[in-house]
Amino acid sequence: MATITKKTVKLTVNGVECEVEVDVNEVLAKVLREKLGLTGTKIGCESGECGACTVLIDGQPKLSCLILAIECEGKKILTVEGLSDPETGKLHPIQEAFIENFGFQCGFCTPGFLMVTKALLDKKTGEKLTDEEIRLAIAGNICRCGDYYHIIESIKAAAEKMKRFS
Amino acid sequence: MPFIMKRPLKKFEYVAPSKLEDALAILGKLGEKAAILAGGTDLLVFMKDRAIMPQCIINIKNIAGMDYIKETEEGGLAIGALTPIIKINESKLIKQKYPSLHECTTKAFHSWQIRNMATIGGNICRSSPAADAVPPLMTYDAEVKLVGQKSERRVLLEKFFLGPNKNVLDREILTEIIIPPQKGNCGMAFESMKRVSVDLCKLNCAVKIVLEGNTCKDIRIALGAVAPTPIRAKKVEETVRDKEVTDELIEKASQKVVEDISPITDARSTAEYRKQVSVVMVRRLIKQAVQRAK
Repeated sequence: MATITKKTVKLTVNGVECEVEVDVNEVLAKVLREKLGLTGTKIGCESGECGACTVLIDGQPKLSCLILAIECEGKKILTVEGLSDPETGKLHPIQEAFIENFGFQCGFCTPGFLMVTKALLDKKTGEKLTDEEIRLAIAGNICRCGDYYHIIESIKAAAEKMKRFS
Repeated sequence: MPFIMKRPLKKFEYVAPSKLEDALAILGKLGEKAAILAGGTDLLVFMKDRAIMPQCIINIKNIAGMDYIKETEEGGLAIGALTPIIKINESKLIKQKYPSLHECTTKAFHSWQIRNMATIGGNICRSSPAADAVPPLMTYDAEVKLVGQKSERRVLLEKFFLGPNKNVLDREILTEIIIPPQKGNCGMAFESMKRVSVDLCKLNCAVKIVLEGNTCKDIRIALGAVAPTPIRAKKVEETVRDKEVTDELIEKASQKVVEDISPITDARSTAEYRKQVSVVMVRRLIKQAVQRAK
């Protein structure tokens, strides 16, 4: 079997199919930011400790800084840019909840928290979320401003909203 | 370690075979120059730090049929090497029959993202002395199946590790973890000690005790991050085995753990602290395991 150093991969990013040529040593976060212009995904520690680069790959929250872009061939990727309505630009209820409840300060960690929240609420439709479940879900995300209280309040509010809207 | 920006990954060649034979053929040819990519949560960090610089990455995630949890005919358990930690975490079978393995996925692999990405085989092959999935598996006398181009062997997990980041793999791929049936009235417990939830542990420990009435018929204690490899605390085990389990006995036995371990001082903890806290951890976990067996 021949080894490769470059490949054109097909990805579905935020519902849009795209083809992008990647070097095999490029991580997904870098391709999203530098080749697809989706700079919402943030690169923090680059070692799997901070969660800022979290995106959903086939619905599961994963770290885009620790996954090679080439591994994502054929996968569905959702980034923070894909949360709002593509037609109207209206923010997702999770984003509204974070704004209304002051769920961020500097905002650098926010895309990661939003994506984990999305995965959590997709998984737990119609059930009441406990504080413990929320804390476990965001255990892999660090907020250096230390705004966890408001983040948890925002997630609870988002859960309420989504029940109302769904 | 002081904080430094991670560098981009150095150039390498990449191959993602869909058959195990193909992966083994490339690995056979390249040997040390190749690295196996499964979850990538450790490998890519090492590569960014230039701790390893493989010429070729063999991504084995496209190989079908290595992601499963199933009961064996003998009543034990077989886990495919590519099974992500999240599957082990969500398995009702494991939660019910191997609670300490379940506990390690909630107490140790704390980040949801890492649980989704990391694999059980990767945690073993990385061979960190602090690997969190290893101590529970060691208390079950688990074996690993190692497949080479022309070979296949089963190795007791205890004998798999040779030192920090070193193991017995010789151009082989770990394909399966086999847990023998756990006989008798078993109690199991696991704990991982660290500063914040996503840290590597200062130390971790798993205990399995088999009770008959109040007598200990068998016991296994395994600890991580207190020696060059994950180890069994055999001195403690000997002290408890075939005796009536009392608080005094547990107290006496847990003191012996310092004879089993040889911890070092590093960024996460000091040798002295690890010695002291190992005693406490072993004592608590034996008590918890006894409670659960009753």
